[in-house]
Amino acid sequence: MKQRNLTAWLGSVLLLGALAAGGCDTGIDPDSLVRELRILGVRVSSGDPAAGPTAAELQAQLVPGAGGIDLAFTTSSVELTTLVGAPTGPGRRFAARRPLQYDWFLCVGIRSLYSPGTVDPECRKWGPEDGDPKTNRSLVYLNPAGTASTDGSGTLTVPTDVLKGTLLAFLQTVLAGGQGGTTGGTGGTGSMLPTRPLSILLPILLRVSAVGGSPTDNRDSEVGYNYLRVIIAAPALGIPLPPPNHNPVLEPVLGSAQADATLQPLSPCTGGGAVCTPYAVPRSQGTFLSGQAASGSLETYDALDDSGRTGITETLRFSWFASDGDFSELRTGTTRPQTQWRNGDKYPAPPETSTVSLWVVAQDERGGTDWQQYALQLQ
Amino acid sequence: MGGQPAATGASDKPAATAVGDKPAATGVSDKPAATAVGDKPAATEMGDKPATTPGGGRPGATPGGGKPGATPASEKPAATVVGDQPAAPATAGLPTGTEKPVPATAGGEKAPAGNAAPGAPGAAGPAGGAEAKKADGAPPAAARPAGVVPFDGVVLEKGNRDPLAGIRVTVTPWRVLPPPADKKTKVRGPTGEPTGEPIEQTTDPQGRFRYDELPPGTYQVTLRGPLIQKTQSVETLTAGRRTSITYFAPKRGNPFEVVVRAEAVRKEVTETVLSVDELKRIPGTNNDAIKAVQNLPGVARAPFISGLLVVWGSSPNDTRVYADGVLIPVLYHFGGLRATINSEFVSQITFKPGAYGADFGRGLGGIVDVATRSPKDDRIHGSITLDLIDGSLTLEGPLTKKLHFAVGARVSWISAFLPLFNRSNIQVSPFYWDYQVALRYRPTKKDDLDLFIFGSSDSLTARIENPDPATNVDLNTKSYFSRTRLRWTHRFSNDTVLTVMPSVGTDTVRLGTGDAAVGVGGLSVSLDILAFVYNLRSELRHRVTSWFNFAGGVDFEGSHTGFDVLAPQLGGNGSGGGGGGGGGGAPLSVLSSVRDQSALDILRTAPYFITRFEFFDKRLVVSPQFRFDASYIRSYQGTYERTLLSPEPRLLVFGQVVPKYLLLKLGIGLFSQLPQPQELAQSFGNPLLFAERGTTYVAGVESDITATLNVQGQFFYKDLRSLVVSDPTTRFNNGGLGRVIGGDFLIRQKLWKGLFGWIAYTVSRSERKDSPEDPWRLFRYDQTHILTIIASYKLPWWKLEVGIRFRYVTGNPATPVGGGLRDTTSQDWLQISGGINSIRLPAFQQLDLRIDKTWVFNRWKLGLYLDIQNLYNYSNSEATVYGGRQLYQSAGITGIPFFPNIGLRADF
Repeated sequence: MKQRNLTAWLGSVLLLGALAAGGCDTGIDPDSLVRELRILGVRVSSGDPAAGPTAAELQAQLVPGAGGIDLAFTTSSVELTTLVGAPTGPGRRFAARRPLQYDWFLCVGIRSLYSPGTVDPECRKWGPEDGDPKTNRSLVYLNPAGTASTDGSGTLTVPTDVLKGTLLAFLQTVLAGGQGGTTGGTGGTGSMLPTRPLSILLPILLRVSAVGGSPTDNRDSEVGYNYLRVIIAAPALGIPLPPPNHNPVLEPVLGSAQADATLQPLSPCTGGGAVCTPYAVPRSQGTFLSGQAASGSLETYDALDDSGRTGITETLRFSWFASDGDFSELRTGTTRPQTQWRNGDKYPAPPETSTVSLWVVAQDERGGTDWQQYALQLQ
Repeated sequence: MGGQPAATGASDKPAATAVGDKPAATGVSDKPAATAVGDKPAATEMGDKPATTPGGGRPGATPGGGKPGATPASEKPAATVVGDQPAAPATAGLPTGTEKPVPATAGGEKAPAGNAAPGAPGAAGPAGGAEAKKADGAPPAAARPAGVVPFDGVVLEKGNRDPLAGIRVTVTPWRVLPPPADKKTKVRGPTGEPTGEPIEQTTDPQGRFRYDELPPGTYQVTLRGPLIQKTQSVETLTAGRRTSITYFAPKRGNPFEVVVRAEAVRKEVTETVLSVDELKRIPGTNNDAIKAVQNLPGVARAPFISGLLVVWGSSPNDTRVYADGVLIPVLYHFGGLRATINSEFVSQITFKPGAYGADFGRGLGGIVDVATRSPKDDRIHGSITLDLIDGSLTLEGPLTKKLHFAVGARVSWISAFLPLFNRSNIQVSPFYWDYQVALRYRPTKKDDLDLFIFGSSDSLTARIENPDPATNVDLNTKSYFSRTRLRWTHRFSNDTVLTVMPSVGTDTVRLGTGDAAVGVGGLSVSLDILAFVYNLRSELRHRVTSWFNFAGGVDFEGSHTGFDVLAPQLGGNGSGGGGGGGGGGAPLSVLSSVRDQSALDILRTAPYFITRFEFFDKRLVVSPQFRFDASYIRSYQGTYERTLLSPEPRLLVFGQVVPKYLLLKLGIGLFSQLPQPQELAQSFGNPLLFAERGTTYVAGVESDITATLNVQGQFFYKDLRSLVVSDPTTRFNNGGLGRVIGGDFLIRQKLWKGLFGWIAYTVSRSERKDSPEDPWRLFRYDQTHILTIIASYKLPWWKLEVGIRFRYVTGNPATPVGGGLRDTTSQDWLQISGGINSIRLPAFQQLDLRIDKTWVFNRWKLGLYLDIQNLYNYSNSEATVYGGRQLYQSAGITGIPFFPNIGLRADF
């Protein structure tokens, strides 16, 4: 009976959405507006970056071992990198660049393990009243030594062995018959043995805070998370590892003052956003922008689920952010990549501001990520 | 009508028809003929020819040369003469059959004394039809005393031609007088004076009357009855001719109304039986009686366009909806737009919020039982209803003398209007339809057989195309159900009645991605459920003594449900706020879809026994009842196979402290319900869940202050146990607890002098917790105060009826958002929630207005209604969205703004 309610509910929500989207203005800042410290992306890199696009996931094989099973990772470590926007200048919390502290955590809350794509409620406790997250038993602190940097990356290398214990404990429970559906391909059969590679999503949490900032001022810190995808094969069961998903590679963004004019590539910033070649934009107008990825970024894959879909070509999603102004489209894709940055009435750059920071984050639907930063020179 | 000149020269329909080759001597018109206007003679038809009134020497029953007011019974065509041969012998060949609409008089006139005519043949009229076209029933002229003529007729309700029984038809010898010379003088009723004693008859169930022995001459005919406006006309009976007339009498009150006055024998402590025709005119219901259930005490205001029924603090899934005792899966089309059963088929709606009798169970909430009515058996009737949302058509009448039918269908066209309001790139096309077929057969006087076949379908296609591929949706959904119910009622005697009611049906739910590559944000989802349901409800009622009776029966429900679901196992990162404050969690495309397919068989048998002891001349009624619900569940090819037993004793007590004026009511009962089917699925639920349980306590009082004014109130408490709640490892468990305490109050004015309405107030508190160790929290739909005021009044002018509905409701609980975690996988925010349901949305208030205008013609009626929701455009907050950096900004989503809907309805 409830399915019918679900259907009716879905219809109602879509109906409401259609009506609301027809002109509802909530007055809430757009997600693209980055006026204070913001975590804009986290990239998982496995393998040697020098060899080309890195894998955006971890892969391992189930092998015999102590306690029955063991995990053999295809790499000894995984690199976590983040993109943080921390605009400075008049009217901002940070008048000038500040060093940032990056604290990485692994969420091992039970709901995250048994319900893929969920951050366990115990891993969401980051308020001043929740105490030090390093003492939270649902969180594993990944960088006890801590890292502080001003380059805006906060890169951390995590040995795969750190993840093994959590994954093995979970797998032993699942394969013993705890949760058939989670393993995939077993729903309704009663068998708990996997029939295809397992896909496990581990929440990795990151707290970025301004060194010397106030612990009670939310402008001085932010917590974000990203799902680390772990693909596990079982060669003994005839289940091989699929080709890994690689991070896409962004090409320079194309820009133009007019929608139908010839697009010109912009020069991305380097050095963690420290070195930029500004792109001139009339203050009263804006610019049209179009994301593009290097060839090979769109990979073809088979779905690791019960849908039976094969030969799927990835789609890229470009998320646009700017320290001032807004975008006609907050997100674009490979088929409709263009958006317009506008220095309009709602979120205009202050008169004393001459440079607007712009970020674009590209993601494929399997978690692969790349990003770039640009500077727009208002004229 | 009384003072108005009613006869005009125009005519848009025949009102009098003659049987025979020739038209009636008096023409056909719905215009009054008795009072002609202008050059036309009074009391004639509006045709080209003046009415031939034998004996009168000139046309018109009322002399007066076209003066208005000669006979203010003016809407009638005179048309009293049958045939065109003077002094024809009264044989079987007698031409008969005219019709005569009669308007109401202005009132205030006193009808002649209603003495029964000595020797009158009584109410029994000639057999065979309300049109009184049979001459067979008239005694042969030879058998009649010389100098008398037969006069018969039928009284039908103006507009829908329903026969009116119990109408007093008074015939008074009459001398027609000319109207006053002073044209300004208003004249009420036929101008004239009595010349003899009146004689009176009462119409039979078919609305017929008959006088066999009246001397030729002129008579005033007066129709009176409690449900009609007094009507008068003047007829001239001619020697040698039989006169048959069909009178169309206007009904009092709303012409569409058929008030159900027969109250059912009280069975429940808390039960509200509603007349459908009242409910259809409640503002905000858009002519849908079943939607009015949401206005009753104990029913929470449904969240915005949800159509959910939240009764006495229970979950919407806890309230079961029946149609004639047959469980139906859904009461409303999309979002509560319209009920799935056409109101035209409904006779009454019974609402039982809790502590009901043992003949129902399997739910922890309330019961809504929609009772269908029997098809009309006098002739063919029909109706057409159109508004901006949908349109429907019904047809009913006799197939044979014992077999009657009704059919109906409705189809929506809201999807045609939706683009007018939709400026976004979201294309949503909802479409629904439903149908009903009813057959009733009475093989004997002791047996009734009726068949009701009905079904409903909702389908929706949604295509959302954004530059952002993660938000694209291509989805098709369809849900359908059908039921076929046969009911056999056998009356062994007045004290013993057996009802057997088998039913079968199907439920289908399909949801799939139109373009698998798009799906829902790139994820493939599908849902395919086909259930075959087969039920049997049987009951024997027997009165053993004057103080004891019982009912025993069985309530069986069986279902075989095949399902195939492909969906991600969502763990629940929290409900999304929509807008900029999404629910977080991994983007759907990152998740894996899991397929779960099997068959679920559920057989549920519940024998029950209801006893009723009546003491002290029924001033004290004690009704111990018992139900034993046994459920057998088998799924996954027998991997899971269980039998769940639930003994459920119940007790109802009524005490007439002051007969009619003060009734005390007490009730207590155990109830249970199975988990929802999807909660028993292996991959998405927990097949080992067991039944939820609850105990309901009710104590109340009730008083009939007047014949039409009723006041009632009750306190209730519900103790809920073994509720299904989410579990981090098994997805669901039975560890939940709940409690509801409250009271409701209803003062209800049934139709009285054109006024009806009610004031309903409920105060309650509903709480839940997921385990005994957790603190209590507010239930999601808890609403402390619910005030509903409904009033509808028939205005004394322009035949307008105006209704209002005002609602004031405490805002729904909400969970505050105390910030957000940035989800860099989906580029959204995950809410950091405060205490669950620890705050409330602002209170809701809304005033709705409805205006009905009806035009009543002789053979049909036309109604126009304007239904305005949120008359003063109050901004009611239905939800809060959070957005901005770390979700520190919020905004309210408001509900329905000022929203008018206009509809047309025609009945014939």
